[in-house]
Amino acid sequence: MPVTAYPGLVAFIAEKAEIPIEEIDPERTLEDLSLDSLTLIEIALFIQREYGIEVPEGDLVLSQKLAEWAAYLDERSGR
Amino acid sequence: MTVRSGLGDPGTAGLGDPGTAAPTAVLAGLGSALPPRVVTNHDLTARMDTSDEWIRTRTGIAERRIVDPGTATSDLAIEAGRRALDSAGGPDVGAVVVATATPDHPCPATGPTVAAGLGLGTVPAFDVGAVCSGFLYALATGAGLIASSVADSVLVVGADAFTTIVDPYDRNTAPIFADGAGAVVLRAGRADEPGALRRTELASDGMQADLIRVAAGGSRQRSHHSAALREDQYLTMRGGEVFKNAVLRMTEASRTVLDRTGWSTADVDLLVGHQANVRILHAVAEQLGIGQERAYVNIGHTGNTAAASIPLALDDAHGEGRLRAGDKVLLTAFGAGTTWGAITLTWPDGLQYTGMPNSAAA
Repeated sequence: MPVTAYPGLVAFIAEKAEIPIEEIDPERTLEDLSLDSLTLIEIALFIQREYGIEVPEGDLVLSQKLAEWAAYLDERSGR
Repeated sequence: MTVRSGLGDPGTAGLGDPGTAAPTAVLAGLGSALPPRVVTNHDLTARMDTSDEWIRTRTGIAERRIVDPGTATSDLAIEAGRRALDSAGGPDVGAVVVATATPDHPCPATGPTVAAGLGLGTVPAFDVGAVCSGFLYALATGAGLIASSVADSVLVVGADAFTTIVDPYDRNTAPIFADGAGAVVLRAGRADEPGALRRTELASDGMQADLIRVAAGGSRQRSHHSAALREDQYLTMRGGEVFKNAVLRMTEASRTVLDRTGWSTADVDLLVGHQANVRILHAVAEQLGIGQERAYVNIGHTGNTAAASIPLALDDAHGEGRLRAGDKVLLTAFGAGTTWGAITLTWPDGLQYTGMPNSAAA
């Protein structure tokens, strides 16, 4: 069953960036949120656990907009 | 399905028949030692392009202890071992197992030096090498010596002068690694008493041997009988892959060992993981669904002390009053090899605390 991972992802990123969820904008990047490269791994582990989607290293990068991440995840989950 | 009795569960097996049941290893003493020299993040900024904020946010480390020239792993191990023996209330044990990746010499093992330094006579003494998982491997080895009646008590030490294999100018590794030692005394006892080691899960994957490695110094390089390149004498680490593998493997081993013990993650009073990086520890806790308040962290003042980190963390947690008799404790580690594992135990009653370690000076 395909899932939209975006809401869960946003909640996770807001916690890591220590900002309110409302401040997460799909047009922003992790770099805009001052998150570091370890956060990419933390997010990949979160996605794998929550949605069963394995994210190969390099598929997601800090300079991508969160909207692009959402599209990637929807595609990977078969939506 | 959980097997609740019989051979599948040491918690109840053979309790009514002590004549035939193999003895269980029980935690009876605990001690640790750190070298006196403190190196702060600020000290590191003087010799490499890094910052206090960068190190703190990526590792959770504020300062670490480093050995002075001439100090060896056995010096730290003997100090921690003496404290553990004092804590156990007696100077004698039947065997010594030292987990280390930084022995005093390539040959011989450091175990006999530690036994002699503690005045333990001619007891069996040897090393176990599993790098950052070494203490768990040594604990399982010590428990095995007790279960097989080779010894009725064992001193298990995790000790590393790890900075001796770390390039002091490498900004990827020098801020992380540090030196120290921690030790426990195991004695023969019963599986149902506080302090008993309950279940053990150990694993390895040699296909990942190059994730964390020192290229030179072993037979692969020494067989050439020529000097090693400087960079080959120091540890290299593929940080991102180590981070991901550490989290997944520690989570997996923890789940397995909890299941075999018959404990849920909610039952765990304290998760004491190898202190590699605070973000790895928090990610493991998150994967397991264990709240961060139950995941012990002391890496801020110790750094990653390799084989020493778990017993050092146990000693700090005990000193802070975080561990009470009967508490359910989950230990887990991941290290070079790669190796990983997890062990469950209950906390003993009346364990002596021998004080915060400050100095390895005799």
